[in-house]
Amino acid sequence: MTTFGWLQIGLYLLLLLLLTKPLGAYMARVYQGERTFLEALLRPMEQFIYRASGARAQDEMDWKTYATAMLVFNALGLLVVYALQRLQDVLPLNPQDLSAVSPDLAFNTAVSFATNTNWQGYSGETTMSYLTQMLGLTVQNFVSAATGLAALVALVRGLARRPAPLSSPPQAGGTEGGIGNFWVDLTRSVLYILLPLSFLLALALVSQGVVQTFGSYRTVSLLQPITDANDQTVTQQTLALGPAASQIAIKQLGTNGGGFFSTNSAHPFENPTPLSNLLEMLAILLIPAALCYTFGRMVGDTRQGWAVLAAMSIVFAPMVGLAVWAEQSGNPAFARLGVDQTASDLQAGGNMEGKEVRFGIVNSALWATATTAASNGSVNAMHDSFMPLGGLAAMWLMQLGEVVYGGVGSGLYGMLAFVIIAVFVAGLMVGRTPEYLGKKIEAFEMKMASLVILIPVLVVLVGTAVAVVTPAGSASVFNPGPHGLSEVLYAFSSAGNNNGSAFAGLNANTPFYNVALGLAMLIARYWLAIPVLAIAGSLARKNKAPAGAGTLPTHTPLFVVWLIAVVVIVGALAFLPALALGPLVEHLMLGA
Amino acid sequence: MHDLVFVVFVLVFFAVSLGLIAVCQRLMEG
Repeated sequence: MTTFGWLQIGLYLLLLLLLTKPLGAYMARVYQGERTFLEALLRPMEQFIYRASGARAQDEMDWKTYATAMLVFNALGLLVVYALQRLQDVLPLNPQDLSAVSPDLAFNTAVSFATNTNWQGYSGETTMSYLTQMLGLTVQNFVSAATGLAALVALVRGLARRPAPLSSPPQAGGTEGGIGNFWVDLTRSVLYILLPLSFLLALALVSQGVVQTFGSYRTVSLLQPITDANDQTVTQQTLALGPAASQIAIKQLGTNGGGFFSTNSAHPFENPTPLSNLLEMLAILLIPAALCYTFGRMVGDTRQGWAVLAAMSIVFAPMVGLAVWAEQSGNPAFARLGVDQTASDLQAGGNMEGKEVRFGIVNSALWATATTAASNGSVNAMHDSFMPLGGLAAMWLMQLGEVVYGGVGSGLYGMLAFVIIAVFVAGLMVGRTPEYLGKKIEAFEMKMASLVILIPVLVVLVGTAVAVVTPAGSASVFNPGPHGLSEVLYAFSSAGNNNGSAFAGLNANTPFYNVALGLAMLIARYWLAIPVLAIAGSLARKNKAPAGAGTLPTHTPLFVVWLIAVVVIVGALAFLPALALGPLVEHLMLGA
Repeated sequence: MHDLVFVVFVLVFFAVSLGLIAVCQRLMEG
């Protein structure tokens, strides 16, 4: 790897760290209802939304009400996106006269965007009208991210608060243990965090050449005519356009990942320059990293947030190293053909198959690890063409449960579930009362945290097993041997952890995969958010015990190491056998 | 017909999810 390669990774991580505290502090103010510099501009809009929707913003909700509101809102959004796709041929803003999306693909896509996964079984430019992209997909990019943020903030309140009665009149089903108001958290997430950041990023992306237009596609003459497979001379090309920049900004910031165009951020109209690449990569991890600081501020001890961020970063860094090393080392099959894979001033070297020459090895591998660490799923290179160990790094980051930064909100609440496990196990081992931030961790919290960790594992492994043993599943696998298994495992790891990226070699736009992956995405999103909110409700009812001699400190390097061990051991135990049959054996076969 | 199948599928999933809330609440209450 070149010096510039190391410098690029270092610059990226440095910028991310520098932005963590200011954004994290700002988000803490937003969620604690404090004044921000956007108050004068956005407060009237916020009040209007509450009045228009009938939301009683001053009321606290107990966890059941909060979870029910989340489910109802998401179900309605999902059905709207489904309807938009099925009716797009008769709706406006469809200059290319695209037909209605098939029912199974419409279901898969609606689920995908409502669950913040953004798995795409379609090509955007040939399938989705502008109306569907904007009113359906982009809107879901905002509200699905805001849903994740809301669930996290509710959990943090459960950890931070002392028991207090709900406001009068109480919400149905509870008299104490309020964890906030879902409608307020959703609205403030969108208005104060996602919209302003997306606006700034979209402008920056447009300045770099990302397209933003309602105009129809353009047909242009090729500078150099080519001959196609039928010996016909091709002199023209149709360039797909559309309102891309506005969708790409939130696709990255909201850890959504769904590309406007089929090739996602490898497309020159989505990601034209090295600067746009850096900005988009930063946007992927920005909010998930900053939320760690937000968490620390909200619980009154920023050291707790830094400790969690440190644990995430320590897992992330080696995965970046592994992916970059694997790709930069090149492909032995190319070496046998005499291809020069040495890095030099004239070429990036390494395994450049499936990568954009304007990004090279480092920015492709760094993006692949960031996007899979963050449950984002956007790509600027084709992961299917990565070396086996490069693909393994991306796949394993998803399989850890998307807790290494993870999705906006969902990443940190997943990591806090691991923290609960870590605290409980450590407490048992040393004979201390398991507690976190002064709240006792008891059997109920352990059961819920176990659900959060085990459900995605179950979904991924069972889904993969069913796919490879059924004709409907195996018919989509074009690569024989371990790489074919890797493709199926990657697909279910992606859907079962709400990531959305793909090993593109699998034909996933079939009724089997559209339905199976759709179900995986639904379970992975909502059947994790519900136990998380249940933990929040349970903790909110508990008194905070003052720290004493028997308290396990959870901000120390020792606890960070322990937390990493718990995350890695669970991830390794659950997925090592499957990985051994896929990327690991493929790596060994390549070297044989 | 397909539309009905998928819409019902989604509604059933969310109904089961509401049931999961109730199960979690019962577990919480011991």
